[in-house]
Amino acid sequence: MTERVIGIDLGTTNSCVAVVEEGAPVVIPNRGGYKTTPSVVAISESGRRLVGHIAKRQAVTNAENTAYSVKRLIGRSWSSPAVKAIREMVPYKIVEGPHQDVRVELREQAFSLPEVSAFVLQEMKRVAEDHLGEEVRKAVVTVPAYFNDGQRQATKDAGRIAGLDVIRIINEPTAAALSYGFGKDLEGRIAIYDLGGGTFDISILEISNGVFEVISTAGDTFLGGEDFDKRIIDWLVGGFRKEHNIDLRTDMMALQRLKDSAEKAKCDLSAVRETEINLPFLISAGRAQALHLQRPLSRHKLEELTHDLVERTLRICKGALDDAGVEKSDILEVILVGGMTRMPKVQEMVAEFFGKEPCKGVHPDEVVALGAAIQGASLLENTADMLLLDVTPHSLGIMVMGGYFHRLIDRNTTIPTAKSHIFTTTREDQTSVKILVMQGENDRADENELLGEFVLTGLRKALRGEVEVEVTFEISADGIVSVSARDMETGQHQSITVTATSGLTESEILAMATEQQEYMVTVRADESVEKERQAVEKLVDEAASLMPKVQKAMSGSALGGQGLDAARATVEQARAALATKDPAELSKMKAAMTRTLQMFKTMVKDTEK
Amino acid sequence: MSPGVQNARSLIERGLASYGRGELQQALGQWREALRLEPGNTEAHKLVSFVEERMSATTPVPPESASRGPSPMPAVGGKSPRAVDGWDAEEGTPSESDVQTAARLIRAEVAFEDAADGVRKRRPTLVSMLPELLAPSTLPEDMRRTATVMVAVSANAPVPQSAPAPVEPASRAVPSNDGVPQAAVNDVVTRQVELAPSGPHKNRTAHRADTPLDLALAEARDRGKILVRQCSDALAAGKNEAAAAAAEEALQEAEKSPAPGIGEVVGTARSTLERAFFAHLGSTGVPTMAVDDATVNASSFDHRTGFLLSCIDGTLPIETLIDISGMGRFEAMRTLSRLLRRKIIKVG
Repeated sequence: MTERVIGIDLGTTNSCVAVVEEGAPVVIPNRGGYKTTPSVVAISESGRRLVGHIAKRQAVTNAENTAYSVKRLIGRSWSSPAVKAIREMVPYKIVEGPHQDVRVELREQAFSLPEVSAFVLQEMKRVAEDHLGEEVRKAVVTVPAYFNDGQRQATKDAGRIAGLDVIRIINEPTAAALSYGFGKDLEGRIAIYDLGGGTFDISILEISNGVFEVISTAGDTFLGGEDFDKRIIDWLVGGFRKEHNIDLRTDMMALQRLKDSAEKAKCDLSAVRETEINLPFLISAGRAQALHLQRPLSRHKLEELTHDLVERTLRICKGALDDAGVEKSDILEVILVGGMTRMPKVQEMVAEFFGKEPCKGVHPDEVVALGAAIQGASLLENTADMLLLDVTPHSLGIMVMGGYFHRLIDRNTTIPTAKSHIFTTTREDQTSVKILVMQGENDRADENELLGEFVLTGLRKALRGEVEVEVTFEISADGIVSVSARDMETGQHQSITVTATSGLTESEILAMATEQQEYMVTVRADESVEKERQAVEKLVDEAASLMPKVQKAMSGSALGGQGLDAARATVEQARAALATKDPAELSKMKAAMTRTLQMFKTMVKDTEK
Repeated sequence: MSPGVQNARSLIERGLASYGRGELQQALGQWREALRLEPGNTEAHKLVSFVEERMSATTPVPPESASRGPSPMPAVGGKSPRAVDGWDAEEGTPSESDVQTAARLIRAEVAFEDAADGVRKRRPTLVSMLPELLAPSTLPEDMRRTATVMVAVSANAPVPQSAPAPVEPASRAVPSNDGVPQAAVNDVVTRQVELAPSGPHKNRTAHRADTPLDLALAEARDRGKILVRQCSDALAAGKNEAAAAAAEEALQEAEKSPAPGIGEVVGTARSTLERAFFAHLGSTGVPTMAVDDATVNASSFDHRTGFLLSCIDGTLPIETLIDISGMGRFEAMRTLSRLLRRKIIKVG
């Protein structure tokens, strides 16, 4: 049997898993029947690890121990400006790791970000395995087009920790386009408008002869469905305060319920024009009394509350089109991705902006995972009917005098690529230069990410500006960045290869992977014991309910009395086994109780004849 | 729950345990620390001010010194050594109120030896008073029981550290060579066994040191003990719903008891109560609503119960509900058990 490759859309807010079955990509629902799983991980008070919907449902009441949106942090260094900003925004604790990396502290235990992402990937792996009935080892995982090498490497490491061989990382818009173009002869430029739970991305792709090329990408990592929910929550909180002079935000339970119901109302309003938010016993109002919240919300009101958010996405779209050097009219199709694009107003405003109706033939929550599954199957079959070309998502350059950033390779440059530039010395008799390799879009170097540094020595002593040094950047097809510096006069040179790192060492990754494997073994074992327990519990309950009838049937018979005593003893032993959780004992008692119950049923049946 | 709050909770619990051992200074320290971690904790505030008040009332003798022997129950009876001295100072035949004072002291196991000394001095009279005092119409059951123990104490007989159970065998409470007419003592014990659990106290003559608060606390403690015992017995008999009901009543008793509460009775039985709730709910069931929304809305719940109800969607098993409840395992189980008993939910 051929090994399967699953496609995983590891989202900021939700994740989704798909596989190609009988030639068609399908999304695999989780055990709750949902096709997406929240990318949320928590540790409960009892120390239990919670992933997905369960973790999300306690995210407010157990905020300090619930990690979400770790995708915004993954692959970033502790000193990165983004990390500093996010630390101020999330309730869980973010701490510095041993390699200047970022870690999340839940219940006083520090987890690396690849590890937290691995918990989500592991859950997706499990969903797929439950569905397929076989072990899954290989996966294609999607990442945003703007992810740098470190972030991509961290995502790969997360896969390894989860016990997955991530055979390819592909860009989310590329995956969406692949899914959309599956079975179609697609040619031309398409726009992927992706408004998810926590982020917004717009990508312009050029598809030609089976080659998918991202020609520009832009976005906002702090704009998504959660911002829409927040507007509803603000509106509800404001109304309640006016009415009762109580701030619902002060109570975490009330806030959790508000969050859940705001999201639900938002989703409902994509299908109906009005919905009612009904939250009984929401907050205490004195002794043993609680106030209810009951409020209708119309689609029109929601649109009014969130209009500016949609407008913000369109401004970003304009920037992406400008970057790609294309006009709106050049766009052949607009594909909507992400749950938020179900909102009619979003569809309407996007249609108005691009001057054409967006394509509705794809499922916005599933399209990325489906594309990843298609790519996975294609890699497995080694079919070369499509080629994915990537662009460098960020500009690359070096720091120059005055702390400025000099770009050598502009963002959205198709890779592989190479570019050189000549720099001169800045001081009299300068014999060495330090090359700080950076990526980012800011003109100030310290606002960008430092990728690596090296020193070129042995320069001729001369007046400043006289010695010329050529700096060359190269990005291979695999995305590996090499930077070299050469003294133009002497030919002396130095170089560096920027190896993407997630901030974890090889031994750490291996240790985490082993730990995860052990954890999964324990989880599976616990599940099997639990199943056995449930079976025994059911048998005990059934036997207990038949006991009066059996007693009646046996009354007056000495032999029956003995049998009844034995049966009672078996029931008691089964009860004791339920408390021990010993698998062997439970298995033994299951067999014994099955026999006892059978005996009871026969007796009762005979009596009733 | 923040770690601070969690630690404050555990400090309060530890403080109660220290208090139970008679280590008031230590208890006070733990509660003050709880307050430092969680300044808004009203329970810690109440406990600190209560003990501070008590300690200042008993100065210069530190409260710890009031109990010379090991004392598993707190000195909440209001009987510090000063009160015992007052009793000792009285002349003549012990009155019924003397018996009550001693009884309460012994029941609270405060200054046990002091109380016993006092009883020793008046033992012959006490013994002679026993038939009258032990008549159901004279003293409430718990007082009668205590009076029996006092006789034992006065004879330097071994006395259980905790208050005697209603069914304490005669041989353990009464020495055979104490000079007390054996038949009389046996009679006492036999009658004790026959007596019903303590009801409303009759003919209680308030001693001058007995504040209504002290008495209410003592009564709450007794009721708490009985309920915990009922819970434990029901649990052993497999009567899970009855066990959960008794557990709930015990907790309610603790909640309404005056400061510093009866934590040493209900708090120490926490694992039994938890087992009762857990047994009532079962570990594997999935709770679903047993009534419609209109019925729920017409009912009266606090907002924490409302939150838990909002989590019940017919898919989450008990364990998961507890995990996401945001209210701690014990409270979540208690709330679910209460909802099950009220038939608001069912567990399938």
